[in-house]
Amino acid sequence: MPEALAYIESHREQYVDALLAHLTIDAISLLICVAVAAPLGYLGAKCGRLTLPLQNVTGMIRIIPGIAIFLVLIPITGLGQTPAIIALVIMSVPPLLMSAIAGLRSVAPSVVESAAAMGMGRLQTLIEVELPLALPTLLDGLRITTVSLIAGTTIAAYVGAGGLGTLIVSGLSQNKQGVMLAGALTAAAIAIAADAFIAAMRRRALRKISA
Amino acid sequence: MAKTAIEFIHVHKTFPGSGVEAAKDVNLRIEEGSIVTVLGTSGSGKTTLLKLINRIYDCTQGRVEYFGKDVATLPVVALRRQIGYVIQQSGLFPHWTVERNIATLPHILKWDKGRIDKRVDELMALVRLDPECRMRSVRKLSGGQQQRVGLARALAVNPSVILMDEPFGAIDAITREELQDELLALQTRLKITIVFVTHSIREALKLGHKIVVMDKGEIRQADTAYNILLKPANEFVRRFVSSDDFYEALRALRVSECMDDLGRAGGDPRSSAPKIDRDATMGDALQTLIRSGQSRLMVIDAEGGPVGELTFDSYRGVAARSEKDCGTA
Repeated sequence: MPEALAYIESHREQYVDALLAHLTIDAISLLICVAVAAPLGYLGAKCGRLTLPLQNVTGMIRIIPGIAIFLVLIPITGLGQTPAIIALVIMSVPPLLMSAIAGLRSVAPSVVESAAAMGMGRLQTLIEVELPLALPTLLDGLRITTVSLIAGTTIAAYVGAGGLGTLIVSGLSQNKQGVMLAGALTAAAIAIAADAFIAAMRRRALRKISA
Repeated sequence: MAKTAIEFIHVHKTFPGSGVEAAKDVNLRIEEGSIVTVLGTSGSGKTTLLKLINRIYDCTQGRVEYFGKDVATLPVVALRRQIGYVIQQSGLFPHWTVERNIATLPHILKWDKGRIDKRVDELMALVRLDPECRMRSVRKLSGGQQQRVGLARALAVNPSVILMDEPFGAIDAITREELQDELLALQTRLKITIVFVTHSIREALKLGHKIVVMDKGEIRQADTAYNILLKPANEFVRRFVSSDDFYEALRALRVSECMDDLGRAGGDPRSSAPKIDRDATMGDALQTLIRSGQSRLMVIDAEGGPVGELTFDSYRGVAARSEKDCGTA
């Protein structure tokens, strides 16, 4: 720990750059994950025929180790941020997609039907009825995806994406524990904070819909 | 004759992939301002019939008319907003308060806040909900109260028709009777057309001006409680509604259907015979008759004028009739 603090103290600019790069990659990846999972999740929940295939595919993707996805992508996209983000999205989207399908399907059909029968449109039903009721489940998925992204981004340093992983990699290779710890502990702290924050949101959402 | 609110004309409905006809050549006229109960077992097609009206389902063949217009030609959202809908477990929005649930449609129609508030007040009084529970979450209400909210929600913008799908199915017997009585009183007051689906014979007979008995997608008989009970059109209806309990049948029959009309001699308005309303059930009348210790009741109309009389012979007639007519299918 003291070595880690000492490193941060002495290389503040480098550390902040790594931190910002890390957060940027996470934010972009998360946005793409949501953009992918939202429509696919809606389709998967609404079209009975798509539910199972989507669940199977996402289940298969989850089995592939993250590092393998990174390495497979290098020959195709080269090094840098882009392959990192593509790989991160592939490995982190499954929990979000699964929770989107499960969450929307968990809303009682009678409730959705009465919304339709009262003359609510599909979009209105989705926004006013289905999303609030599915929210705790959606946040479950978001939580896993977010934590997985933050952790995964440390590996992205291997494909030259930058971020806190760079500190871990160089600390390891140069046998400088302080540098490594500065990267690892910061990534862990961000992950824990994000996890706690989303968990709190989930509790709030749950209180709204259950007695 | 009353105006036709809803009419099924040679309606067929087959669900894709099932091959089973959930509605088979259904022809049915529902008069404006009446309660029609649709009675059948699960899978008989009774709920399908209901959902063909507000186009949750569309007919495979034939058409459903809503005040003379084919529902398939009406804009679906506008149609649904004119038709109230109440289902079992009420289908209330569990994340909203009582008030927000009742005001669902006014909100969609963008009424201003004052108008919504006033309407919610009226509706809560109408369905006899305690004003205390207005801001409470609907999840915290009892099943009976939830159904009151469901009814208030359905009534919010004065629909001309309300569809009810086993709304009291999951409610205890005492509360159910109470809700049925209130629904009847409400309907008499507001003169709404109600289509009410149930699997309870007793409920169907009690509530319906007309009872539609469904089986395997077909209407077996559509008639008054009196005719369903005493002149079943076929063996199926006879077996379906046959009750070993004579008193059970009396609960469903109206005095006006079984009384002896006043002869040319006319009734003596000064007669000391106890009076019974023509709309009372034969069950209630029997109690009154027995309690009075007399041998006849004078049947009166809403204005109190004598319209007929009821004797023990009237009951003997009902019993004999049900045995004789039901024997021949």
